[in-house]
Amino acid sequence: MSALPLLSISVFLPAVGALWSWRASDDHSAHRIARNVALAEFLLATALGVKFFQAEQSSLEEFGVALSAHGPRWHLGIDGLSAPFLPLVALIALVVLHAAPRAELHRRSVVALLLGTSCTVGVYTSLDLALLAGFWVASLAPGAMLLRGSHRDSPLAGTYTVFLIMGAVPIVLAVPLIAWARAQAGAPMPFELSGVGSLPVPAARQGLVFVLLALALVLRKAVVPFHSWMPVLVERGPAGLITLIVGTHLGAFLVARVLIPLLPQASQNDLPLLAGVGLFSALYNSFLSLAQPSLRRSLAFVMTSQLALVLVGFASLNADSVHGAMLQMLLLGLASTGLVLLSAGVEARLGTTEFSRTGGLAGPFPKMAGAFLLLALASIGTPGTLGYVAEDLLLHGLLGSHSILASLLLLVSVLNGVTLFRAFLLTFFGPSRDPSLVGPGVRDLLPRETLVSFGLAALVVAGGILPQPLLSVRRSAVERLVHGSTPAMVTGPSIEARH
Amino acid sequence: MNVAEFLQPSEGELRTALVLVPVLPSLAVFALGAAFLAGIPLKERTIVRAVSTLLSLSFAIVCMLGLHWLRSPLGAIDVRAGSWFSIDHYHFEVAFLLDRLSLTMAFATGSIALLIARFSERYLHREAGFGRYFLLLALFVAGMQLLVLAGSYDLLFAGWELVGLSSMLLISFYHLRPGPMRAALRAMTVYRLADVGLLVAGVILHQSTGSSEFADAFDPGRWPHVATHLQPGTATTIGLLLLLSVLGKSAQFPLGGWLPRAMEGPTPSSALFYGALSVHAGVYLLLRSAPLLERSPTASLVVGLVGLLTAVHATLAARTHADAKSMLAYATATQVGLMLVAIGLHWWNWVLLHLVAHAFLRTLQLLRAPSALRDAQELRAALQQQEATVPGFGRWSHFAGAETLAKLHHLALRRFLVDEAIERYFVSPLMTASRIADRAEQRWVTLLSHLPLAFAESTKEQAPRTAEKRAP
Repeated sequence: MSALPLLSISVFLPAVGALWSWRASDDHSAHRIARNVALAEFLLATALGVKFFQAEQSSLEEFGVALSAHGPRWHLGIDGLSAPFLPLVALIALVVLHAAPRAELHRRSVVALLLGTSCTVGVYTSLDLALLAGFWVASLAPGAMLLRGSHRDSPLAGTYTVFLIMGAVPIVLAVPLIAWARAQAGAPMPFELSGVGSLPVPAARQGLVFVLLALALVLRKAVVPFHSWMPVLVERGPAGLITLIVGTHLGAFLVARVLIPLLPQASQNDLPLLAGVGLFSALYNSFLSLAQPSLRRSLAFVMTSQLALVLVGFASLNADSVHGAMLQMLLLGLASTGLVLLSAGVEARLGTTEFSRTGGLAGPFPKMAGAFLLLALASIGTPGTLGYVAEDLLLHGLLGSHSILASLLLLVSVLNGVTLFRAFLLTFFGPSRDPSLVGPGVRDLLPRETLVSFGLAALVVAGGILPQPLLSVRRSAVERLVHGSTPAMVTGPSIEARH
Repeated sequence: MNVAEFLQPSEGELRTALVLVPVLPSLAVFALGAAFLAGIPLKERTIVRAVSTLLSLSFAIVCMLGLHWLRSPLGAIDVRAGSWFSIDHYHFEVAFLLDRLSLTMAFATGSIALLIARFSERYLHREAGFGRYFLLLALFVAGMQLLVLAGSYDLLFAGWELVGLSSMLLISFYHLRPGPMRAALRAMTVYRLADVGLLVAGVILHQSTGSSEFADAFDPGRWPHVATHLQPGTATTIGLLLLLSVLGKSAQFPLGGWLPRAMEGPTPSSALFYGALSVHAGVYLLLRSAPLLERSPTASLVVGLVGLLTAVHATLAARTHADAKSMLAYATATQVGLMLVAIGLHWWNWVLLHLVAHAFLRTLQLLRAPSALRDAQELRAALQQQEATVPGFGRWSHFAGAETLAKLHHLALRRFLVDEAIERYFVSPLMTASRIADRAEQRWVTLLSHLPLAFAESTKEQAPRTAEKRAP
């Protein structure tokens, strides 16, 4: 088994699938090929995750071609940080390919989804800085390609271009800067992200690099004031693109993989500021979500808000809140994928998700209502779901050291909960405001949609009832983040929790 | 195994029994949910039998636990069922506490739930959503038992949230009407806002004493003679935060506006939630936090004042309502207010007695409310009265003139403008501000999309996307 470069295969498999789909004879076979490739990728990613878990965090690394002796090279690896994300992104792709509305599953979008998956897996597994940046930039291309062609939706294409692509520029600038700074300080492998060769950037240079990376992160995570593209994408974009960008948390990943390890002093000083910006963004977006007129827009702002909350968890660099932030990332990946697919399903059936025209959908679509409710409950942290565990950990981690952050976090949670319930009640309950929208042939969730929605809900509930495996797999990665980078700030609460 | 052995369970058996009490009803939730999802049609008898069996088993275990506690020399039995999840410095312990307070509440919960389940079988016969009702009933019982048997604020919070969730879903049971939907949203908003208090209180207690479990955070003792060595300041903070959550859950002034509207749900569930159990969950929380309130005279005073204010407000509002269920809702709020006054005075055992008695009485009254007209007619026939007597101001006219009374009546009818004030000074400005910000946001997006870049089209106005309607 060790002879096969499994990690490289997992990076290239979706891309190969994309090429194969592109050359298929029609949309239908392209879709079928894509589904099978996504399933294979999911199985591979899960196997890799399990292998990592069982091998007790021994290194699963692969090396390849290098540009020069000390330059960037093909270096992949899997650790506690990325192990749960590989199956997650593969699952997202698989799930979207199964349950998105047919109208969104033509050849272009299927190819774009697979290419995006490939690049995202590349970002997760890269242990070389230049490689990571390369995959990061490449992951934007499928979206741009998709939006250019089929939708002709000016606000969507325009905002996507401005923000996401502009957001790649700082990282492209930061990488050579980091490499140069490290080379100057005598690091043998300036592009290395892990292991012996990975030295932090010299303290003097950390400031500028931190600013660049923070900029890339803030643009990618849709943090105020660079947030406008995310609600537009969730409101109008194709489900596949939305889930690939929202559910994969590349921004937060950048913080954990690059920012904290390589810039320890700057992190210690400035990360709380970044977290404060994240909290303000979360608050602002949840405030905006209160008065939205449609299901998709409400969802859009709630999701933007929750993405920013993940950043807050990294603020205090304390084990509880970092664990909470990571669980929150998983939760968002699963629950928001489900919610986006369901709202796309509502739109496909009714043509709109405006509250003024929907209403009473629980009558004709009871399963959809049930699935939406379960996923919404998970998103807001109902006990018995993953959201509760994540929120509990976040709160316990933050309340000791940053009580203001914690109280505002609770306020965000309240507002998001109110918005999601409002969206649910206005869409599914109440009288039907425009009965003509639900025609005689329109059906409740199809079997594939049921499987996906309730499957995701089941995963979230299972994670809520038995969260320990998810916490254990991350333990060493969190340790390294918390203790390795900021030895002065040990952990939050001053009194140890009694057993 | 003789009787003595039977009543002396081992530690492991105790743990299993305690875990089973909330888990058995939740099995009903999962089973019914799975059946609905699979599209299996279930007969009413089957559903009722399944739910009743599980509720009865859960209640039987509660009774056995009660017998065990009675025989035990300890005043309070603290049972740890293990750690739900843990990381290096933080462990979420699943802890249960058996004492006079929790067992009384658990007994009341189990018995009233069974009564209501029996009643609901007939009341909701051939009602659409019969199965959904019983699923939510089971969810409620699971949450409520978890709440009252919990040995820590964190676990109590979990039960508390489940109770709030089932409450919201049962208020909107008749989901095709606009009234229930609005009432449910209102209730859920108040719950979520108020729950912040409980969540933060639990965390602060954990930070101050190293544990949020009652057995660890408070000094050992038999309820209500439990003390705590917390600083009065911390105790005040925690007490006031807990009061916030009580305001929401037990519909106290000024957050009580949701209660009369919550009567939109089916009558048996109204009886269970707002007569018997859910509305008293706040009182239970304060009773459980007796050590904190004893330590903090300030918090006790505030609790008592809030209770008094609620009682006066609700009793006046009750007298102006013309339908039985609303009047009973206000009457409930009044009695809970009086309970809060007694809590402020630290009369713990009296409050518990009042709570249980009130729960049973109000359940009866609410269950009889739909038949109120028939009852009144039977009474009149028995007393051989021809017409209904219209209540006037009666004794009150000795204290104030007719004009004053009329103004008071008018104010009471409008619930002393509390809801309107909240709507005007909090909700409306918030929603308006949100809408203004959203409009600014949309203008900004339009501006961005007009930037001359390769992918943007030049002069298209931002138009809502209307996808073609077609089956997936």
